[in-house]
Amino acid sequence: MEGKLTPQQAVQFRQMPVEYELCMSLSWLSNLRWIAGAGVIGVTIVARWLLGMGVEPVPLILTGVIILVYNLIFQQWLTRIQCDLAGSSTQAHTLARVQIAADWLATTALVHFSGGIESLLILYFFFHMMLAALLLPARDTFLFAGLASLLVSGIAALEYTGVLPHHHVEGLLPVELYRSVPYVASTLGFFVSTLFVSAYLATRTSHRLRARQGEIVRLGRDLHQAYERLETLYESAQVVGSTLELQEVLDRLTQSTAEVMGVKGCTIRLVHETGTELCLASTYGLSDAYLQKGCILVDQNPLARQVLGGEVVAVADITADDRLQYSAEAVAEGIRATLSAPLLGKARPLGILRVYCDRPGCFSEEDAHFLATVARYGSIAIENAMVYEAVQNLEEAKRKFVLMVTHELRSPVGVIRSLLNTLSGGYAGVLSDVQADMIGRALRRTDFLQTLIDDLLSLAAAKTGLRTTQATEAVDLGAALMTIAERYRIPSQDKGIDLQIVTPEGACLCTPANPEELDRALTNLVSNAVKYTPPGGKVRLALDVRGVAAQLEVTDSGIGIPEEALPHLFEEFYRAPNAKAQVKQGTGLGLVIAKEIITRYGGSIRVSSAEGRGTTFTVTLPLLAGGAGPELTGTADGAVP
Amino acid sequence: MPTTPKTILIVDDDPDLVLATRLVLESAGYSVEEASSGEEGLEKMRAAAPDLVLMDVMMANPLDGYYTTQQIADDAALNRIPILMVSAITDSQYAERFPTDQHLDIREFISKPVEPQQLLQRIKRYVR
Repeated sequence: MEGKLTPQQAVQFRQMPVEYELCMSLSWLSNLRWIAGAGVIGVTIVARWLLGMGVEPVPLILTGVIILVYNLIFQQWLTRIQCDLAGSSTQAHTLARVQIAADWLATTALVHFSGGIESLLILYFFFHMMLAALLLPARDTFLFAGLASLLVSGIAALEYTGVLPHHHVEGLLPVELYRSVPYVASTLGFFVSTLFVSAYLATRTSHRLRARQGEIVRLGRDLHQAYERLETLYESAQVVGSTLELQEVLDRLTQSTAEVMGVKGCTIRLVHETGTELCLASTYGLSDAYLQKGCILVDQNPLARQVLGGEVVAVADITADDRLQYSAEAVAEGIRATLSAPLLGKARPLGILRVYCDRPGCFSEEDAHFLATVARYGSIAIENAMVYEAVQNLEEAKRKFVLMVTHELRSPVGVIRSLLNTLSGGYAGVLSDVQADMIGRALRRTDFLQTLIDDLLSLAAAKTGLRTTQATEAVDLGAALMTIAERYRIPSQDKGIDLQIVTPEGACLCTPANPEELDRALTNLVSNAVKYTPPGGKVRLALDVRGVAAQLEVTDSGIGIPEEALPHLFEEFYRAPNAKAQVKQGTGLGLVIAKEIITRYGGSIRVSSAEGRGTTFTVTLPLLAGGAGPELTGTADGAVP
Repeated sequence: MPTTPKTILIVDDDPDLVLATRLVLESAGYSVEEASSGEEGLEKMRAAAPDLVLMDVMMANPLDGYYTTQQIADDAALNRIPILMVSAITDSQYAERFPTDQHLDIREFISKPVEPQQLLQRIKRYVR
């Protein structure tokens, strides 16, 4: 093997290691042959003319040239094979055999022209024998060993008998030995036996090494595949888990499963609410026509029952399996094999994850394990999405219910008020004092009911963002505060409360909000301050800028909030005990509404208070860009105009 | 009190509310006509030629009052009669949906429940 492989070569090596190595060795052998050919020519020239040895230069140089010429042809051949096709292995083998055969014929010629049985070049046969042992099947190695023995013996015999002329190398050996029977016999004996023993040892060793290599390559391949699957599994789990929308979870699951497993298609069937049917919930890679098939009836489908029971089931060939309900449609779709894994919820089976292949028997044991793993994390994602969907539906139902109930309550309460007002106004005749008193009480109760309903409606609207999304505009907080203060001017005057408002001069302190909703939130704070401040007290509304936010403080010198009540202040229907004692009627929703609205617009509200000394509510709201940075000139203090 | 009483048409599908409003208006000396739907309201406007219409926005059919005002706007014989819109919707989220065309005399938009004194004050502004 070469030291470094390109990624493409690495893949080929993993696919067919022996063939790949053979192909690479052939190119290396070809390079070596250039040196061999040139070497023959060079050594001949040196031996003949520099060392003055008695070699015959012409046939030797000619053989060298022939070696170079056929090497050129082999190289062209090798370029065509490219070592990149799985189908090239036969060609590579043929090329290897032809090359060795050609080399041996050339070596035989060299041996003959350099002294026959006396030539030391006979040892060169060992190179190719070793090469064959490493690269070719064992049979070929022994075949070549036999061929080399025949060639060398043949030359020895032909030269001995005088059929071929003997080319003695003058100056190398003192005497001619090709006619010495003991020499020829012993040389041949040692040569042939060494050749075969070497062939045996080399093939045995290379066989073991090759088996070992194959194992390593296979393990490497499995490891690589396992890593790839793990990686894609992780990625797919991330993708599937990154959403809570049920349909999206299902679609991502089918798509990623089909892509990771490299199959024709993938479907998810979910168990219908009735539990008797399995209906398609998501598909990937299958035609619309195939998807038109109906739901699967669990009772009539043994395969579905088996999978829902918790098994991973493979159908190796759908034409030979009667467990599929729609096998004719599946064959028409080009499906030949399926693999199904159960999607199991905590309490019940959720459905079936199935992959489709266009070849029979294409799913392995590893595929089954893999699909089971996908199905396991898929089930978790699906169940999470189902819970999320249920919660969403519940939220929506709750919102609709609250809106419906409050609207339905509002209308009759309004009518009752109108009727009572008509009575108490004397429009239906003069009332006695007792009657008037009772109707007055009924009216006050109805007013409270009306307030409660209005509060609930506001709360529902704030919690669900009913108005936030409707009409958000730039609200001038200074102007909004002025309007509210104006509304409370007379009530506070009547009560003898000093109502002050402080707003910075300059550019508009604008916040994006629905004006009516924001008015509702701020009014609740001001109303509380006026309500819970005794005569002679003070209420101060101060608007200011804090960085990119507007800050509003509503400070009163009222009854304050007991420390133990502070943590519950923003809880629905909660009223502090001292507040209850002071003002009988109150819904306990005003602050909740204020907080819901303010936080919905990206603001915050906090409270600091000491019982008996007063309370400060601090509200921050985001400022619209460009509306910030007014001149902060002291105060526009004093009574509200 | 005028010698010939002014006629006010109440278009509302809630008989209890109509009763209360009728009592208030009659005690102030107005003659009262009733209609329980937008369609009936249009008929009564043509037949009785009221001096003012009290129109409920939401009737049996949601926004019935709203669509009725649009029909009134298209009718030259009717679009000079002042209309007071009455609605259970507290904020003005629907206000911009009403035609403000000068030919339609929508004078005011009142939120339910309407206080009797307040209602009479408003009416007096338009009916003399």
